[in-house]
Amino acid sequence: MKPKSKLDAHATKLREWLRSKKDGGEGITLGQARERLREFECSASLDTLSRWWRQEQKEQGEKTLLADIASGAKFNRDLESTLGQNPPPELLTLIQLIKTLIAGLAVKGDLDADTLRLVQSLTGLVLEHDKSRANYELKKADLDLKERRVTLLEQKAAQFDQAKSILQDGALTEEDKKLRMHELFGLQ
Amino acid sequence: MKEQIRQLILKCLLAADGIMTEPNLRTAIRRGLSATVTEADLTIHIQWCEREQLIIGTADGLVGTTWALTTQGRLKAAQLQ
Repeated sequence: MKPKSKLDAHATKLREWLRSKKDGGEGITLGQARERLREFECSASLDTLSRWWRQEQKEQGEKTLLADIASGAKFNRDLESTLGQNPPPELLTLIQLIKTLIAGLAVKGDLDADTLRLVQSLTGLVLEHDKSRANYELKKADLDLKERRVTLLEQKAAQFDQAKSILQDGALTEEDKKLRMHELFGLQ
Repeated sequence: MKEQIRQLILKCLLAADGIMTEPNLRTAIRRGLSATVTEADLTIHIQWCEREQLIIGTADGLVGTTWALTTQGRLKAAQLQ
């Protein structure tokens, strides 16, 4: 925590003045800031102003770091909720790697909107692929079932033809026909 | 400085929902500190937090060591905010 300073009362103005133009501030020098402070009846040496600004930047740096980490953690939470309660086991490793990658980018401060979009696209592709694979397996199982039904029907048709020829065989006695039919249909 | 590093370890883990891989934790601490610290310094402070039962580590073949806040560590981290 920063020690109390008379400059704290002007913190908002000072941040606006001293922050670089790239970061949305005016980007003025410490000397210019000191002059402006005089207009607000506050006098401070350059050294005091410099120390205050260094401490301020340090605190802002930590806030930015923690916000970046939290943003990565939030993305990973959202990713988990997209996957639902029970993600496919074969995707767990990949998802774990994506989450580690996101957390790694976040701690470096590299998790910008473009990177997030890219990772979201990658995750979308992975999920789409998994959905397609699951659909393929369902269709394959359905096809296997239909093939088994056809085989069974063919077997039944062959039995029917055999039964018909037994019944029409004039050389067989009624007892023989009955015996053959029992054999054909596996009856005792 | 050592107190600052130890506090930052806890704050970073709290921001990360309580869990971070060791490489990410080390990168975060180095980024968050104004002064330069060595890997050995970081190791000492991570180990101190572990000894104090503020964090707990688990080894994973995929991402290496992962550190998580204990209940005690989470409480302390929350107090630092």
